[in-house]
Amino acid sequence: MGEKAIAFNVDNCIFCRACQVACHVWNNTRAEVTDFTPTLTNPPDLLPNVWTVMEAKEIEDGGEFHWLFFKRQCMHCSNAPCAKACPVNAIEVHPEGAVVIREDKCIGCRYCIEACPYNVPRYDPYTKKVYKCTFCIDRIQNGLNPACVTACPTDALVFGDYNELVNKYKSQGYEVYGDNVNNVVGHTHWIYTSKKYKGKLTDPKYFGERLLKNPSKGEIESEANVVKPIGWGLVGLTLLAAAGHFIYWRAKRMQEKGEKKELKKGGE
Amino acid sequence: MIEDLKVSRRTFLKVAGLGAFSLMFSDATKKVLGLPKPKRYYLGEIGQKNLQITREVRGVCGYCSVGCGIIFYKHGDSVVHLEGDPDNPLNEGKLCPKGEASLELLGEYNSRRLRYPMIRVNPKPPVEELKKVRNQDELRAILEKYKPVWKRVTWDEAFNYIAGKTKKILDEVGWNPKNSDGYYYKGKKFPFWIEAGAKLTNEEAYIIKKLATMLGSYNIDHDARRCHSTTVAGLAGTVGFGAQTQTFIDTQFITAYLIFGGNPAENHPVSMRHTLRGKEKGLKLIVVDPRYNRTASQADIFTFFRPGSDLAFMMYLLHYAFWERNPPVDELDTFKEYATRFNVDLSEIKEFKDMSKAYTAEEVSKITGIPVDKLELIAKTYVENSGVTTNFKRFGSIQWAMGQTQHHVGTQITRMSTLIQLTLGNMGFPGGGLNPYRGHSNVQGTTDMCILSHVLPGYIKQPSSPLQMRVYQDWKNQGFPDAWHWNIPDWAGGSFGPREKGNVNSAKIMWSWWFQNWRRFELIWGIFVGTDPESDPKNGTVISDFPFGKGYTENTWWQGVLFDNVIKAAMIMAENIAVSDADALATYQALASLKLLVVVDLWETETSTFADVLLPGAVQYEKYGSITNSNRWVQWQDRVIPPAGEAKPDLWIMVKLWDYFKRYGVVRMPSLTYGKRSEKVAIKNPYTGEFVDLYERKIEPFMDYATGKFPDSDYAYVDPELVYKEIDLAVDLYNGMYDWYYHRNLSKRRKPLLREENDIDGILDKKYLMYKDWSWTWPKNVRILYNLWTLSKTLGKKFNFKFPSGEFMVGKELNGMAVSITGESGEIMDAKSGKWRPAFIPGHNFLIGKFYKRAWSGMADLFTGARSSKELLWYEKVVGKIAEFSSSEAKVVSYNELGIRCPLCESFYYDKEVVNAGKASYLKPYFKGTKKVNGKTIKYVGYYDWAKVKDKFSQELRSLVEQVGFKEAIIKMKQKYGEWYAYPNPSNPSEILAWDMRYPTHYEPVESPSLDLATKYPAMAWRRSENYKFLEPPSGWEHLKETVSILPKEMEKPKGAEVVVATTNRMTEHFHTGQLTRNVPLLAELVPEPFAEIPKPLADKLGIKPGDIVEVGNNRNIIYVRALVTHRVPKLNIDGKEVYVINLPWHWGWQGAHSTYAVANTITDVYMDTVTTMQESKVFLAFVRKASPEKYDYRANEVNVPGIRPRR
Repeated sequence: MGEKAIAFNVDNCIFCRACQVACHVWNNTRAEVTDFTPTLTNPPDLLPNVWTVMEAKEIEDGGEFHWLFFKRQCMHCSNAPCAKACPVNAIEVHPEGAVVIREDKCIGCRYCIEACPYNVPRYDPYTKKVYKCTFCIDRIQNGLNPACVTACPTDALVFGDYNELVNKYKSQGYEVYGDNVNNVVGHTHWIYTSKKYKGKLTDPKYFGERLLKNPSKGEIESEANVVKPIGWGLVGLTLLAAAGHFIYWRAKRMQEKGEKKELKKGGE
Repeated sequence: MIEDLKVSRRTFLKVAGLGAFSLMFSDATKKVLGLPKPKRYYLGEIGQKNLQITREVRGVCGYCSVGCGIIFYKHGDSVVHLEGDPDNPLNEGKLCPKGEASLELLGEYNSRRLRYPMIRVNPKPPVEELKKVRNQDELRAILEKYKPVWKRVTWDEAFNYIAGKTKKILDEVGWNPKNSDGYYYKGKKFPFWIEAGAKLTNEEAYIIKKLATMLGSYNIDHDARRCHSTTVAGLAGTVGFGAQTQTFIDTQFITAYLIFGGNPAENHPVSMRHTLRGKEKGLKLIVVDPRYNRTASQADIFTFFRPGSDLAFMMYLLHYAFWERNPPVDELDTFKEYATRFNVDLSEIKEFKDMSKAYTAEEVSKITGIPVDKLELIAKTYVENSGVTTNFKRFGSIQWAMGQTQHHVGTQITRMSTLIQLTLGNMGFPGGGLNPYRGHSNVQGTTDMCILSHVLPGYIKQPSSPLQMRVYQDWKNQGFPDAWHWNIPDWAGGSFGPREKGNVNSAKIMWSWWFQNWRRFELIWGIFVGTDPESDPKNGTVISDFPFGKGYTENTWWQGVLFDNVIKAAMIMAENIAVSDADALATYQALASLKLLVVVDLWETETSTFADVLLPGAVQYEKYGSITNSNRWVQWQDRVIPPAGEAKPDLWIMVKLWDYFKRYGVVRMPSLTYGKRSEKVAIKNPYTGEFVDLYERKIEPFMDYATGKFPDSDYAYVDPELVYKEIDLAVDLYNGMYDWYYHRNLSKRRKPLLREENDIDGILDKKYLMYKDWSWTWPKNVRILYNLWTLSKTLGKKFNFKFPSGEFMVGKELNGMAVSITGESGEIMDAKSGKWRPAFIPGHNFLIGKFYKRAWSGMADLFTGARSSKELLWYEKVVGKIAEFSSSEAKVVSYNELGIRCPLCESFYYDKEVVNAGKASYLKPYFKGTKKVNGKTIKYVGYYDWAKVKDKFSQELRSLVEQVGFKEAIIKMKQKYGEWYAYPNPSNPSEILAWDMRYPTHYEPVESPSLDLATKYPAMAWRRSENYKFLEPPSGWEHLKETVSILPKEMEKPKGAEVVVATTNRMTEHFHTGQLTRNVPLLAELVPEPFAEIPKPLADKLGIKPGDIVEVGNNRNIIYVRALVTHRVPKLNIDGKEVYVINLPWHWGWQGAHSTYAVANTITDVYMDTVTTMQESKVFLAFVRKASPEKYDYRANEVNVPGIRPRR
């Protein structure tokens, strides 16, 4: 099987979140008991048991109002910095483009988390392993489309051959993110396309907080930066309010991350 | 050279990159690096699902009304997975999040599901305490004090308890059918109220209405009353049927799609699949809504507007078409041609046109808050893409749901949509029409089966007088004729239509349809309706097993308990009215007052808090049955798995209950009381007046479905396919969904292919993706209602069909004729040949289906007669006798002799004369004639007369409001003139003129933000006595008057609060009262807590930050929810003043996995529609302010468990 891509066509999304539920159903991951979020994005961030999150935000640009929807999950980079960082080769890169953590091999060292420029993998302290989107490897290897693509009622998610998809959208006048990002990630097997927001995919006001122009380890947008009244989520607050051991752990970890970043800034 | 170099360098880099990629991961390299080949996974390995050997069960999604197919995968007795059904043309394998999460409804996955019948052992909340509740804290205190305590019982114990108590109540009220003028019940007097939800299958809905009717009750209603009752009234009253005219698939052929009052992207997500396809073809999506919702995010044109100003906005569309456009649409030839098609006199249209003159863009902008330029853009886009302006090549369509319906003038609003479509020539074409999307998976079906207090299954009139029984008996004696062959007797009076045979009007046609259907019920239910003796309809004793009149509705029943003391017991199945009833505190008082309340549901619900008996029901996937989606496709659901524990489907519960009711003497049918055990069926010879005996029919109520064909014990006892077949025979609307010749259940048809051009409706099927061999659609498999002209006008084609002489069981108008079909004919199974023939010729048009002709008119009973219900249904056995009369002799022949192969297919046909008789009711006065009140003569008048006094009426109202306040002003006006919306005729002051509501016009909502508007366009609500009771309540209920606040200044509001216009909505992630979603962890993850959407400028003004707790309330109740501060709800400029709009999703209540006492519907209002009693829950006044966090009582009654897998 050749190289595959999943395209998220921003223009067709109606934020129904069938993808988020379908991901849970297929992968048999536990639903999170969440709290209110002022953006509807919920849970506000990826979790070990939530591998994809639909994000919504309201923006005003030049007096015009937009309600933006974004699907967040592992980008499945061709260079897969996470796989390179994994000391036990637990992260496999498949010829289809899927970057998959093998649960049986993962030792929970979390190097992949550090390596990921898009801040995706999540550590579960109970199983002591790291989890993320698998590109539905156990579906595509068996001839099925990924679960989220299968569910998506408006075809905002499309699965297909990498080059075919990229060319199709480009030739139809779409902006495409992912086909040639930078030499850290290479190209991503999740691509993002839009005609409606052409030229704005990497604009931080629009999707740029997620679709990084030049992703690298130092450029990680930690959640701490995203806590805004109208933004991607009330991550810090809501998570702290939630109970459970690993949530506590996460909050602590995020704090650490924030500190690390500050240290770095100080160094500059 | 440099250029080339550049290119080659870039190419090289690319190649190098790819090279590196493949080098790195090629098998050879991996070996070198010691990397193993990536793992090969088996299907479902990541989620540890056992999918290797599974069995598929196909079903229909149980959430919304799109009708998406779902395939369930079972491994042994475990349902391991589900996916969308890729064959189903409605969803093509896709599902929304609710459909996706369906597994979690099953007992296997959901520990909250009820598993056993239970009886309450502790006291219920007392009504006197509930009466005092004015806020959430007070409600919580009472309900927690009287939290139900349950005792597990057996089904037998539960049924004995219910039947015993019911019998006692019937004895107490002296339930007996004997009247001075015959044996019959008044359906509104039955003390046992039944509410049955729109989640039930068609078979269940039908059995429930049948059971209630045979008990003598019309005190039965369901959700449809509160969701689309006004749609049905507005549409059916105007064009014949109350249903969506297009299919979801057909929305892709629309050119201008006005989403006005609906939110399909959130409430029918999969429907957007087809609509977005349309956008690729040039569909313009116009969204007009109080909220910038998810549908708006896809709009080409969007505008906010003020909730409750719907009619003004739509009047402007007409104003543009009639007054601003050049030439005006009524001067177009296409317009005149179209008006001729629906039989409308152009003078009728002129009156409406004149009414629309005052609704200029400036005036409408003042009322709605929509900027003038936006109004003009929308009107222009819509009108210029309509049938009459494009010579029927492009069409506009209107989509709505609760936004149009839930108003005290909801019927006027939906009727207005219909009139716009009639005026613009958009009705009856693929890509054009009316799209009221239904809410529940089967609300269309349960409405068609009429779990309603005012009609019998299939929208059949309920009788109201002994005279109707006599005329009906006479009709039977004439040989069950159609309208064209019916002689109405002299003594019948004028209300049944012209007397002579051959002379028809719409009243006569409708009565002949109602009579035909009454006969169906008689034969199939085993009841009697008519006179004894049968041969003397004029003087015989009237016996009617149909009760008379209409019952209470879902919005008036609480008055039946609290004010009228009629209803003393209730059974509520698959409904959670404690969350969904508007002004729900009144509902709690009614529920608490009942001597017996039985709730059947999946879980302990908010409603069951007040119950005496709680019975465990089944979810749709645990049932067999047919489900009618919003575009009328009847699809079959197979049982995926039986419900857990002892839970049972409602079909079983109802039939069992009937058995116990019979045993306990609750069943007291008039025919049985009178002693009428058989009916003598005889037809009067039209030449001699002598009766020719055909057969005797046994009268015995039929409820025996225990065929044992289904393996599970519940369905062995009640065979759902037998009920399905019964519906086909009993309900004309659904006739044709069973193929009696080849014995096929057509709802099970799953052919996702299109017909060939020479098949019936083949050209249309192919061109417009109708999928006519997938399931079945009423009427007679017509997919686009009123499709009379698509072939001839839009496509310029025709389809010819020949009725060879003597081959088909049709009348002389068709027999031996070649006909040319111009639209969609649908198909009907012919009684004689057993072949399909086109049904509606030359196409389907207004009211057709209700209008019919019968080849056996005057000759035979329906189906040529049935000696008993069981013989007919179980063995498909008919008497088979047909009488042939000539002036010299009467001969009885058998159907065999006549070569009839399929007598159960009947002999109905629909020719050009029938089709042309179908008239749309462009003009329709809702009040007619004159009446006397307190010595004054009130005359209901049309627009031209009303216009003479309209301003004076408003002026007097305004000056009274300024003197004594709005409530007293209404009382004074109504007392002074004997009617609301009435004023003395200036030229004859003793005559009071009252507006007859013949055309829609703008009415302010009952609770309005503007004194100017509320007096210029007063609300109509006060014409209905149930509404007026809020102003002059019965003694003991005086506090109801305090709950009314018509203007902001009349509201008691706390310090620091702002009064706003409030509306309510549903969300993608939740379903109605939330029981089907708050109890589903996957959906609760997405939206766990209750909230209000508050406009950013208002939040800033009141110091409200996102996530803060806010107090939202009014004189009815006060609730506490979170604030979602957003730009998606507006600040509007209404009549020069700032008006804020807030929105409350209403999915929360105090039971279930995510609970709160903040029930949004405790602050909505129940001012009812003048026609259907629909509540005005889509617009009301409320105050908002920031509240202290401890007021908030939301609780998540589940916790995160360690690990990434769910714990079961």
